Amino acid sequence: MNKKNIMKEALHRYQRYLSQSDTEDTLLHKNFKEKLAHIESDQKLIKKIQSKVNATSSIIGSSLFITGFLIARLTLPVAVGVKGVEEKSYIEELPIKIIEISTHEEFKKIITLAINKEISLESKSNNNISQLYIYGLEQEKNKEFKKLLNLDNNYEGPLTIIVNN
Amino acid sequence: MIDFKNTYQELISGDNDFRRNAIEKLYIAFEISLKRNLQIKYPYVDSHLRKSIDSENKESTMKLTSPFIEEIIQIAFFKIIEKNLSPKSEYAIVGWLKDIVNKTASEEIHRFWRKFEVDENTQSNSASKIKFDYDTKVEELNKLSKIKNPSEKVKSEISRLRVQIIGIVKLITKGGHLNHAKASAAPYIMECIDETTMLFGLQYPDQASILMEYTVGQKTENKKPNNKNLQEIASIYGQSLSNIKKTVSTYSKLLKESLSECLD
Repeated sequence: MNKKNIMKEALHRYQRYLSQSDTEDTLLHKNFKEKLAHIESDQKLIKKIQSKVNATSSIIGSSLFITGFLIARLTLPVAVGVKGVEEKSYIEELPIKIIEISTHEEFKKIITLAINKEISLESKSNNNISQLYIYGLEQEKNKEFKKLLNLDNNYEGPLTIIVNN
Repeated sequence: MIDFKNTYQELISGDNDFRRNAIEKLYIAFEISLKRNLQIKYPYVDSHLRKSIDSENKESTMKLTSPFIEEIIQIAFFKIIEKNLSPKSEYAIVGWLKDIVNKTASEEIHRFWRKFEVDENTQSNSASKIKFDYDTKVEELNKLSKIKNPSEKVKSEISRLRVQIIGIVKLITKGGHLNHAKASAAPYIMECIDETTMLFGLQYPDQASILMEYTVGQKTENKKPNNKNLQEIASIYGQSLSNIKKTVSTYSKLLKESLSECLD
């Protein structure tokens, strides 16, 4: 053996040694092909589970929403009556008290006070007849306004003030 | 030569039949080079099969136990289907395959050590120590070999490590690993050459397999390597032609230097 060929010979020997444990190519490839046919991807199973979970959750989710909506619709009242001067309050349903006054000055004074006290009102004027409609006064409230009209402090209900000239 | 573009399209197709087809093509094309690479990296594995020189004995032994390295490579290829892995591009296929095979090998090699541990001829408590010693010594040798212009102290440390590693490999393989009966030189010279080649492979497994393919592989055997078969080697190892040429020139020089010491 000379130094020139030493590498080739050494690698040749080593390769021959390593290849001693090699299985024949055709056998090995056949074996691999057979095994490969039985290999399934894990992710396929995961995807299957995921799709099942998605379908189930969408069915359960929609049915839960419908059930919840129905329970809410049946148990919660549509409108609640509130005591106060809000729209459709019972105060507006009480009998109207009509107060007649003789002078326009007095009428103006009443309107100014009602506006200042932020009392809900409506006024109409036709020739010499003026009319002020107050939607409702509550008990123990608007004492100054009630005093001006000589009303009792406990008075509640709508009010119409007419100037009778 | 494998068509990387088509193989890549099949691998990313998401269809299991296409993917199986691509994996089969890749296995047939790269099995040998990947196997050689692992055999060089783990020379002690499958040594019991190589020991039986007589072909009849070998066949009967192989019927009982299939080569572990071949098993590892098959497991790595099956993993691609099982875990739905695919390469980043058609140019990265070879590197990607090598990565998967190397990772699988490092995971599976513990099975070899466990087998070695329960072997009736091995002392059960020594196997883990042998493995630890082997790993640390190979790592240390690789570190010291990278030193440029090593001092006398480093050189003597390197030769000490080489002797120790060879000792460990011989212990695992239960004796010398090659047959010197038909050798043209004295048995002790051949033993030195074989051990040096094995150590070179342990230190530089990738470069050693390239060098082996270049020098004595199927593509270049009995003829002078030319650009055409070098190009084929480059595609098998997923490297450029210039890189292969550089590896061959650098590492053949290194191996020749180490081997010459046996003749001196």
